Amino acid sequence: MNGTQIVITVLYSAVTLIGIVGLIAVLRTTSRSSRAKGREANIEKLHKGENWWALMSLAIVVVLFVATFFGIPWMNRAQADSTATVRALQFAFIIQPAQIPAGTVDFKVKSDDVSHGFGLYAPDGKLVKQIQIIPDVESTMTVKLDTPGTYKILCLEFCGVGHHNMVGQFEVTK
Amino acid sequence: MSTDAASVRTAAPGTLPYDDSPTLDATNIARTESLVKRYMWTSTLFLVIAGALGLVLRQSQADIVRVDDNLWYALMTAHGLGAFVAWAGFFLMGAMYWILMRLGIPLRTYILAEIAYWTMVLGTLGIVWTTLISGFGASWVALYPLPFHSAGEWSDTATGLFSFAVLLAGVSIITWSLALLVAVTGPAIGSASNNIFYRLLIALGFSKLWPSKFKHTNGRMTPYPVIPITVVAVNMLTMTLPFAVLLVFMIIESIDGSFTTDPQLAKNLLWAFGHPVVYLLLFPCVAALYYFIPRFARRELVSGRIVVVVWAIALVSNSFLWAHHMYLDYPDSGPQQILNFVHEPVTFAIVLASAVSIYALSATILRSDFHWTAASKFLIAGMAGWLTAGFQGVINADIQFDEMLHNTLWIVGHFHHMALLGLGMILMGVFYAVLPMISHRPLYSEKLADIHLWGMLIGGYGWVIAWLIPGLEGAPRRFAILPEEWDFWTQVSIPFIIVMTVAILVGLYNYVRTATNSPWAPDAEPQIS
Repeated sequence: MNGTQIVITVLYSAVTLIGIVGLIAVLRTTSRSSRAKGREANIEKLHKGENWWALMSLAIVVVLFVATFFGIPWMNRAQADSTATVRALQFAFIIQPAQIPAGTVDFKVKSDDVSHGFGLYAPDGKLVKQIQIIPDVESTMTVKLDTPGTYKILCLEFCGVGHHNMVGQFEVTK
Repeated sequence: MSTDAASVRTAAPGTLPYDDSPTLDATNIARTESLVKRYMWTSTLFLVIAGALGLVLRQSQADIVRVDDNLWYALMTAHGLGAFVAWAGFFLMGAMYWILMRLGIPLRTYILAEIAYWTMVLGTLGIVWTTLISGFGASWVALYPLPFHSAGEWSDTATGLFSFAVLLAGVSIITWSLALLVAVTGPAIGSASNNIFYRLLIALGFSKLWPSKFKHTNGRMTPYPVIPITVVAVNMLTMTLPFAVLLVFMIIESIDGSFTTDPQLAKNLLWAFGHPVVYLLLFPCVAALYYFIPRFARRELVSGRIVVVVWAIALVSNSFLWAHHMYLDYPDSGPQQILNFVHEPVTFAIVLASAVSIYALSATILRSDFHWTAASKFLIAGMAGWLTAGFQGVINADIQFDEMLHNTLWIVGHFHHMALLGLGMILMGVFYAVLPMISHRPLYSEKLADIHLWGMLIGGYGWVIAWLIPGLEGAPRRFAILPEEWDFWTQVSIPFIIVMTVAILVGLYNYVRTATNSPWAPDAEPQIS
């Protein structure tokens, strides 16, 4: 897994655990033994808590939104060391050049027919980055490729009967 | 989660333990129940078909009996629309008529509900025909211009007919929305003004927010479930239209090939409907929870004015968030980059309605004398699924996370988690609650319902985890044959799918036996008013 995938795993596991524990805790208060202790729900307090909960939720989503500023692909481009062009068509990729020196690369992608996806997989088989390939319109994906080896491209937008066979590759050299 | 035997015993068979439904006209009750029964059983039939198609798809990926590539994609197209719209969406459309009736806001025009029913049935049959017979396999999104680049697998005529069939389903959703809006803005809501916008704001709960300005003549505030029902009706009425325009364009192109559409515009029109349609399921499920959870907890929904605010935010934001499906479309020219950026905070904003609703429902349950039945167990399990799948949704809404997750099996895991283990469980809970009341027969078996519940939980979570983990590693979606490095997870999912399938069959058997059970004794039958 890369750094982003690890962050997603940790973040999702943590919030899910908190959410489930919280829900179970609420449900446990409905058991007869719990109610026998005589603690009634303070409805007025719960009503006030709803406003705080809404504010807290708003704060969390604002933080999440601000945090994304630094990872929006078209707003955070590094200076490219080289450029490669990618033409996609049912059901193949034409990548030029076939050998790219290690460093930051601008992939200029375009489709001849339908929408395709440019899913870039590292030599160890893990997804590095992706972009949608739009018919007749050029898009640019910038990515740093430091590890030499054979990189595989899978089509990550459904494009017809041969979609799963649409595979490309190129070499990253030292 | 154990059954509180004492609370079960103290409730009359089939009744909800706490009910404040106003007295209703017997004709309205009979007519609505008949209509709702039709929606629920027809959609359940579509579940059987769509579920069977899903089984064929996954077993083929596991290489048990491999199906032809285009057949696989055609089945995928039918499965997606069948399960999401023709089962879950259609079921909940009917359920909303019942909830409104129980709240004393019955339909004012049954003709719209009838049109919605028949157009959905015909549309679904058209989808089944064009996919399974004509071989249309461009997936449910039919991403333009793919429907016209079939690589020889289907004809342009099939594309035109498929578009027409989907358009019929769209007409169904629009007429359903109209039927709801006519009801919630009618006399039963007790608006002090006849102005249509005033009545709409009353239905959206503004009388709770601003009581001096928005007044009721009937002394009753807008019931909470009416708020999400109104929001989804407005949203589906407006957001189905852009997609309908695209479908009309595709029908025209299937007849006259010289008529074309800009692919990027087409994709925006698709997702302008394609995301809000998720709320065709979610918002009615929230309305159902607002309706049922207080009744099982034997107290009013613990909620105040903020809930009106977050639903108003949801109403607006739902119309401007579709581009989160297009985060990775960022062509060097044109406005798409700006649109994607603007739609990200709007996407986050819609989380607020879920967050506040989860709080209100949890606060309602807290330290209550909660009534555990088949229905309430499914509703609680559905809430858990909604919560845990909802967290995935927040992650997906983030552009930089989406770069790792878009069009991977994570997304497949996410929407099956949300649609079946969240909203589907709530839907099944609604069926367990409503079926005895509209059939006038007691539930056939609580024990079978427990088997149904635990089978779905064990099978269902194993099933979605086997998508989420490889998806997180980059396993691609919509592949008839997956790269072999992900075969392990496909194999792992099969036993869980078998468990879940058996559980659903047990549930269906329980539903059918309930509908054919002996009627209640007259003195035991639940009273509507």
